Amino acid sequence: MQLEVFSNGTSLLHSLDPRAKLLAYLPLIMLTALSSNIHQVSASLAVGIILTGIARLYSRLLVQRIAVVNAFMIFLWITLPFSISGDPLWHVGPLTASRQGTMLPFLITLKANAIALYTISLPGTSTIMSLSHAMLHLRIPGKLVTVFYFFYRYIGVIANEYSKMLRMLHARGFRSKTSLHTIRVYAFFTGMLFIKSHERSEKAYNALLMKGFSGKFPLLAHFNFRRQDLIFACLTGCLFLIIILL
Amino acid sequence: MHISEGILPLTTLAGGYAASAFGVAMGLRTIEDRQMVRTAMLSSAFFVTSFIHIPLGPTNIHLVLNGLVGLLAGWACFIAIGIALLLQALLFQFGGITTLGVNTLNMALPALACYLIFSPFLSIKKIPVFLTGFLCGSVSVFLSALFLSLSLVTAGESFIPAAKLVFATNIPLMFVDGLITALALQFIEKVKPEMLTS
Repeated sequence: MQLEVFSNGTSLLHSLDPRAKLLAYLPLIMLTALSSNIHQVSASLAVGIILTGIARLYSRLLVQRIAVVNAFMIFLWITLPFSISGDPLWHVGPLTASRQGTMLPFLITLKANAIALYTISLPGTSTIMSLSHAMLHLRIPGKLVTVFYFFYRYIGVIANEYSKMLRMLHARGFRSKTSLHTIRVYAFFTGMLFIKSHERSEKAYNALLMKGFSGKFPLLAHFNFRRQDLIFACLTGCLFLIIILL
Repeated sequence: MHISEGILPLTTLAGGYAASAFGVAMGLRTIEDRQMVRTAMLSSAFFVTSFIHIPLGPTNIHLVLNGLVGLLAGWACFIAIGIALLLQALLFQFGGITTLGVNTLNMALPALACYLIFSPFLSIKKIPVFLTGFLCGSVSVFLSALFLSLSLVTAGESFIPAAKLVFATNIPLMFVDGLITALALQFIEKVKPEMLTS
């Protein structure tokens, strides 16, 4: 199963040190998420678009991802214009949408898109493995990072079990529809998936124990903070300050 | 069930992170090496089951199952749910990194509550496993939907209709998740009962 779809690439962003990217990413998303200034948010969106371009990620897949982000915004677009009073814009039955009320969902939509682009172009261009290594450098407890490593490592395995069981169901003529039968089948399916994950974890742990596992993995490859990482960190730091001053 | 980026104010985001960090720290204290692997794979299963879509009339809903995770993981549910949400935020842009704390809290606190309330039920043989499972599944989704709506309201009064709408869309899920958790728990109790006692 291919999960890290944006991490394959040869662009400048793909080759940067993940620590430099996280160093740039975290302040930028915090700033964007908390800003209520339309200029700051628009600038942030522009930076996001440029970064995704530098990472050469413009593709149909990117559009699909961004579409999902925007689908979540529907809840806000159908409620906020009516719950914020102001100059009437248009009427639907007894409800009145206000001009002020459309500004807030617009702002939030811009923010969500900007942050999604940052996420795809910065941490998204590193592999999850190197990001979890970078998490250790960010003082995240080693035990948690190890659990995260196992979690990520075994998603593929569990997902294989999942698709195997699903094929088995279809081979036996199962079609999901709105019925109690479907719910029962999926419940047993879920139960089995959890049982398989449990059994697999016992096996994996025993294997690890035999190899002398003591709660953490030794690191072989180390990061190397190069000049391009420093330049990138400085540039994004400047961008951050410029956006704040807007 | 997650809140997207850019909606909540700083106090809610920071509060969510602080509370979730506490939950994760408690979880880390309770698990040994063996449970580390077990929790991680439980989380993988939790992540994968979110791909299951149950048809419901013209639409479909995807399972949450945080109650089941709570029952199986105990205090470690903050870890199991938190890492799954982190990965969803990083890979699929569901939820988000700034809202990770709040989203983890909204889903893991009900899971923990279900663990504390319902796991003693499992050792009492008089209460049917089906009932325990149904209550566990529906109460956890109910609480998650409630917390989610309340977190939305912290962004301002104008979010009250959106919060109500989000809560209402989760009502069918309470029944479906309750049923699935009930039957899945019954299944686990029959096939591998030691999973529920350890």
